[in-house]
Amino acid sequence: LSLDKLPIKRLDSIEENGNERFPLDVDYDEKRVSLIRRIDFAWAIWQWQGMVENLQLAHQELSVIIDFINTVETNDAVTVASMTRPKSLPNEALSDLAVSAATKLQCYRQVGKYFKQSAKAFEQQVAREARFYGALIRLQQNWKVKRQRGNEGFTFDLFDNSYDQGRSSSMSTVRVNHDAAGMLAINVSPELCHSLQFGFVSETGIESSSDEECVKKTHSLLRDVHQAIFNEQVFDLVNREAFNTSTGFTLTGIRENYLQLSLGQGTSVYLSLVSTGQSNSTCYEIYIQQIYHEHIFGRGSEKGSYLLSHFFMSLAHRIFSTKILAELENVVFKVPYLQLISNPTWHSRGSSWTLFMEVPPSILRGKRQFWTKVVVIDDCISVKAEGSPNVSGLFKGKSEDTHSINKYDCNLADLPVIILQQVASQIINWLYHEALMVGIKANRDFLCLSFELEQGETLGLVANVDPKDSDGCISWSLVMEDSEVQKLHTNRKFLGPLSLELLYATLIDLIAFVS
Amino acid sequence: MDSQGQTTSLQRLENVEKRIVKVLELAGGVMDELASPVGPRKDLVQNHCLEFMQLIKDIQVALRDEIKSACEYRPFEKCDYGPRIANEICFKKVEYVMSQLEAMKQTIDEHNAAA
Repeated sequence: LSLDKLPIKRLDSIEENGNERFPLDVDYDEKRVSLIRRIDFAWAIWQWQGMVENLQLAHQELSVIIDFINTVETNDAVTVASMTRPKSLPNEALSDLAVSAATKLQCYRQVGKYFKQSAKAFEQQVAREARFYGALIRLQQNWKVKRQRGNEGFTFDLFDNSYDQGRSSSMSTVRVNHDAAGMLAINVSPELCHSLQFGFVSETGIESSSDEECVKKTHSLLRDVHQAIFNEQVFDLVNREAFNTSTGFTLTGIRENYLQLSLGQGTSVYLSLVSTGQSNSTCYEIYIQQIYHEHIFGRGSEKGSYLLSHFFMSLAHRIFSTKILAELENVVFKVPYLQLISNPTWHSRGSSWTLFMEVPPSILRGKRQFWTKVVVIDDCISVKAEGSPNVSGLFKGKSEDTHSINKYDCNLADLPVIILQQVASQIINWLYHEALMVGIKANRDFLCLSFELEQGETLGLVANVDPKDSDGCISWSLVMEDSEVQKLHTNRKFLGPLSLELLYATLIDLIAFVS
Repeated sequence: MDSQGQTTSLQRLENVEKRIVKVLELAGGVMDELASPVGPRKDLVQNHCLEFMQLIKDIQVALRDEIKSACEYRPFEKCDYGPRIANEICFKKVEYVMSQLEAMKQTIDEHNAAA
């Protein structure tokens, strides 16, 4: 027998709108279990109590630790031996790692940027310094470079201990500066650079375009300063000498950096230090610089006190030589068959010239060139000339062996006459020689060549010299004389100046006439 | 490596400076590579480091040589300032002679022109 339950349910509640609520269908077993469950609370009470006990224990432990920490802080009884972090949970570890990795990357980036910026800045600085030091090292090949103590500066040192330090030049040290672009530059004022100027007083006045140009310009400035220091030394030495000796000159004027001296015979000279750029070098300045250079830098053979005398004697000689040369040129200009040659003496107080005469060729080969030499030392003139041939030495050897040498000392006024006489005499010698070669006997005097005729008459070719003659200084005459003894009748025919060819022709005619 | 015969001391030192710049650039490049978010390229870093070490070695060798030879360098042992002035005087002589020759040439030209 089984009983079906009636589908009647007990009503739980009815709502206002008429909905009926029935209690849940619960099994009889389930009901019993739930009833049982409702009764048993022991485990819940146990968990709650466990939590309370745990908290109390934790509180106790924390108090102990806090006391412990306080004790350690005061350092009385114990100190910390080691501390370990509590082991971090995995997610904590990972986030720490991520943060440090990100920080490291950022640092790397910053360091990378720093390196690259440094590289650029260093490159620029290196380029600037390369220009500066490149220029400095090139200039150092010629000039002493000194480094300043302490700071970074350099100087060019133009000091020379061969110089007297009386006028110790502030120019000797030249600072090396940088221009706006960092390139080498020096600051030298051109007005301070002095040149030596010598003259006669009348009686009756950057920015640079390339590094190469910068170096050249700096080098040029240093050369100017270096020379200026030397010029000041020379001027001081001349100054000192001018006061201490008075051979050959007189000090007639003094100003700052200026000396005036009189050499006598109306010649006055001056020596001054002027700013470079105003002066054109003359040979006198160069000569003064040269002789004082040898003195300062120690060839030292001549004493200082004679240098200025020597210089002025050289100057006097030069003035005198100019006058002599004028006379010689005048003679040579007027006599067409004479040539003038200057002989170098390489001495400042000596000069020499040679006058050459070349005679036309004859049938028989004979000597063709005759010379007359003029030598001047200081103001002494000496004339040497080939004279008459030695009898034994004809046709042979050098002129010194075959001819005698005539020697004269003379003064300026007599010089033209003496030269012309020598030349005329050489022509006579030549004609005489030519006559001899064709077998004609002739007589020779200094300026006359004569032939004997049948009746004791003589026919002669006579030279006459006159330096003031404008047609030609050597003129010729034919002279016929009755007898040597009496010379009562003299016929003279004036021929005037003749070329050598004409003279030779005249000789031939005379020879033909005589023989 | 520069051979000593072909370059001056200053040029060799300037090359050392250029190498230092290059070394800094390489270091910066390696740092940039390490800072890359995708991680560094191994071969690039390796090449940079090799080049870095080679350059450092070159720099050291060059500096060692220059320091040794710098000790032997004595500037201006013999001062030439005296002969320099002599040279300047000679220069002025040459200038003067040239001006005289110019004047002579001018005279000759004038003479030829007039003839």
